Amino acid sequence: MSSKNSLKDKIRKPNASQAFFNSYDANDNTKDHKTEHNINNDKGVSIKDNSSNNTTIDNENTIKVYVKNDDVVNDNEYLRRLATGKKAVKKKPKKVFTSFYMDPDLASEVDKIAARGEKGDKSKLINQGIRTLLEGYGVIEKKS
Amino acid sequence: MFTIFINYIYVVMLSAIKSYILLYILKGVSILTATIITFGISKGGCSKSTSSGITSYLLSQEEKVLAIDMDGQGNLTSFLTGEYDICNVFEEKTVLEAILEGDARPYIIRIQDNLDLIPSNDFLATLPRQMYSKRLKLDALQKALAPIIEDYDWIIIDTPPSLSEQTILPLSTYSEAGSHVVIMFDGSMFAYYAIPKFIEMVEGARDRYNANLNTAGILFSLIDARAKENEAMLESIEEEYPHLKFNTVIKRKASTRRLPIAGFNGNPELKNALEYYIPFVEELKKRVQQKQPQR
Ligand SMILES: Nc1ncnc2c1ncn2[C@@H]1O[C@H](COP(=O)(O)OP(=O)(O)OP(=O)(O)O)[C@@H](O)[C@H]1O
Ligand SMILES: [Mg+2]
Repeated sequence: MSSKNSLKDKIRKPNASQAFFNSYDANDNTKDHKTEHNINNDKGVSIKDNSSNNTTIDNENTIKVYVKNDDVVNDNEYLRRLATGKKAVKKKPKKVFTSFYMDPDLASEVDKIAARGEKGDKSKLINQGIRTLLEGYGVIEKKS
Repeated sequence: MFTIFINYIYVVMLSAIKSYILLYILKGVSILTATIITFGISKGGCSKSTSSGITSYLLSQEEKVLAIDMDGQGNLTSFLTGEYDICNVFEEKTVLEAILEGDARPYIIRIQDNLDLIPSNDFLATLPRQMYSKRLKLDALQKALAPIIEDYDWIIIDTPPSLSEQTILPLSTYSEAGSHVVIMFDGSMFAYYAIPKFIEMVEGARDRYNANLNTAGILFSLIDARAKENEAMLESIEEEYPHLKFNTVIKRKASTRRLPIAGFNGNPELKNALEYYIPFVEELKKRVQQKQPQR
């Protein structure tokens, strides 16, 4: 209902009342709007990271993703194999480059695990960790 | 085999009877729900508070009424309680708290037999911000009223002259028995141009939250008998919004203006003050087709 209304409002210029209601719709789907914004924004700078995948970063270091959600690869199975010492099958997903500070204890644990694997496994582990956390918060949908 | 078949028929019939009974009960409940009337226009001083207060009073002569003040000015609150120190007297006991807590029950005050009020005061200005941080949506007033909506025949709501949460929440409040809007019009040019904008608010609320919302009509009030543009205004409204204008017109009266000073009880000029409002309320009742008193 409300998404149909906001479409209608895009066709016709919204009046003040519609703008008011739309502002509440926007609150409801902040996630969707952000994604849309990022996809439409082409000011990001394209760079190549270590694993030769296309990524974009803007001036303020917020991440611009040109990758559809469906393309995000679930690394769960790969990591489980790696952690339990089984043969891990390599995958080449699209990624974005970013940087952040880690707690020392976590950093050393992550380094230890990554040392057993190969290039890119550190990123996979971090991604999986955050993915699990955000799924738990209900911020992103669970990947099957 | 045959007995199983008979059993099956029996079960099907029983469930049909059950759902019929349930439907019947639900229909009964729907009759026992308040009809909501919201007074509004985004132009100040068109007699929203005066009209909503008098309408609440008149309806409460025969039926159970809850008046709700959605304007931080608290004019309806003062009108019905006679209290003007609203910030202190109703501190944290207002419609603001009712909405934020999602339950109106602790904030209903008794004015007289059959007439209750949820007051407001200046702190209602903080509503939009607090709704935002609590992630409340525009059905927040409906949620707050849900526990008591069946206790009343009428819920009468006064709104501020603005496009804001305070106005949109009442418009978005659904009632099984119907939710209606009375658009106030003082015959001025400014109010004339505020009417279509208010109708847009009504349509927005109807589309998204309140399919039962209906415009009961446009009420002419404060008409100055000497103003020569009255006739032209009346005709313009009639042409632009066919059948929406109430036949009753509220004329300017000193006794009506004095009502907030004198109050309703023991007021010797009460009859005079209510002269135009008595036929208005009769017309309103007919327009919203309130079935019978609900007790
Ligand atoms: N029929 C009437 N005769 C004389 N005075 C009236 C009448 N109706 C309202 N008034 C006076 O007009 C003024 C404005 O009325 P009121 O406060 O009810 O308008 P309002 O639309 O609620 O204003 P606001 O937009 O500020 O909330 C008040 O002083 C009120 O006493
Ligand atoms: Mg008012």
